[in-house]
Amino acid sequence: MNIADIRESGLLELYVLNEVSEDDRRIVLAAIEKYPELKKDIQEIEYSLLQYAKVHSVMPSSGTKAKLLQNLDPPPVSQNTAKPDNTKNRRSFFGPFVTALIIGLGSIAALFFTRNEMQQLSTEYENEKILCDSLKLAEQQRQEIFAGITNPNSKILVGDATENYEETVVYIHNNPSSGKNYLQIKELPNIASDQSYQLWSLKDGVDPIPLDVFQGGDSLFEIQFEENTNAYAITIEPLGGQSSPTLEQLITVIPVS
Amino acid sequence: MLYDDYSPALLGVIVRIVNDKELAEEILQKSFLKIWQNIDSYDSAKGSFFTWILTIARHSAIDEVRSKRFENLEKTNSLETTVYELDHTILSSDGIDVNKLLSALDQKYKDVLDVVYLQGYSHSEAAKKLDIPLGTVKTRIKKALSTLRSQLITEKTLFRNGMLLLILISITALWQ
Repeated sequence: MNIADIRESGLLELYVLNEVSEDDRRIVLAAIEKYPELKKDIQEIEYSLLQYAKVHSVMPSSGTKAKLLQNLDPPPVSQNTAKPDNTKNRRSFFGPFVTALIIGLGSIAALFFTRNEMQQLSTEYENEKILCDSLKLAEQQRQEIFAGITNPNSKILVGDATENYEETVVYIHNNPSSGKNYLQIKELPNIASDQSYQLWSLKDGVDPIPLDVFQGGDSLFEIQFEENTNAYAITIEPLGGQSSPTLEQLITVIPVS
Repeated sequence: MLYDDYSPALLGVIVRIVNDKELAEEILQKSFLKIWQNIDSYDSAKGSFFTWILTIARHSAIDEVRSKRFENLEKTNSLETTVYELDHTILSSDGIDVNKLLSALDQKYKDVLDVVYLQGYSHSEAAKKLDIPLGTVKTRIKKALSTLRSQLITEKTLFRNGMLLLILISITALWQ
């Protein structure tokens, strides 16, 4: 495909919407590499979608931000208050007033034309700041998990893989006294992009109770604890999970001994 | 802060999926936590930051819709559809009135963008919901975005040229 074909195909729009097949994604990526000017098309489509979303904005209540900040607990950011030196230059061939005015108008024009670049840098700065905070939060969570699984009351429940998914190896660090469970994943069967793993609680006389839905990206994380569970089970379900399990895709059962 | 810049747009999308503002705000919080915790997995080569965080928020909302919890909530709440909109003019960062741009877009194109982009339907689901062929969904998405793009470029160019002209006129007037 030449560049005009790519632009006409609608693939760029679908690519930005994340709605392309893997084959089409490869076509788009190859085209971007061959025609770097397509990056501008992509940016313009993204910008259009951002504006479209902004038109449909709904203002969150003030309490939402406060709750979020409580959970995030970001560290204070030091402000760089350094100011540039103002060099005085009172010499002028055409009169100080006109010179100052032209410089002022020139500055406004320069400020305007560099506005987009400034916003981009500002966004990059915000991203870096968030990255630092997220690393701190991740470390804190790792410490909490470590404390949970090394608790003397915690016991390790071993998953019993089903016949069709023999490669599955999982453990649950179960602590009934604190009501905490941590799932440790050693090996899971592959799933498609439109599928999820789902955890269930099995009890006598009642239907399986749906618990966490996960994609298998982490190897050790906290999962829901359900009182009086006889066994936990993991199935493969459509993306987002279901209210009742697909028994044909039961991959492991973890008895609570 | 990132939250101030993007939370209204994300909440607008989430509300359209779960149709409950209180629940939508909960999902918004969870989405920002996920964004925070996974920020290192964002790859700018794969798309814009907003597209990335929007995908996280949309998936969180869709997960909630599919969860048992939402089913229970839906049984006890009214199913009346509520539309939450900001009632003021939206200006983009370039000073463009985006509401004005949307008026150039036919309703059929807005419908497709709403369903696919704001509500997160797949193309086949959107075709079923809007009762149009799958190919038409794709064609309308392309047409809708092409129209928005060209409108935005025109508006931005006009705005910049206007500013430049204003500055030139001011300088000329002062010299005379």
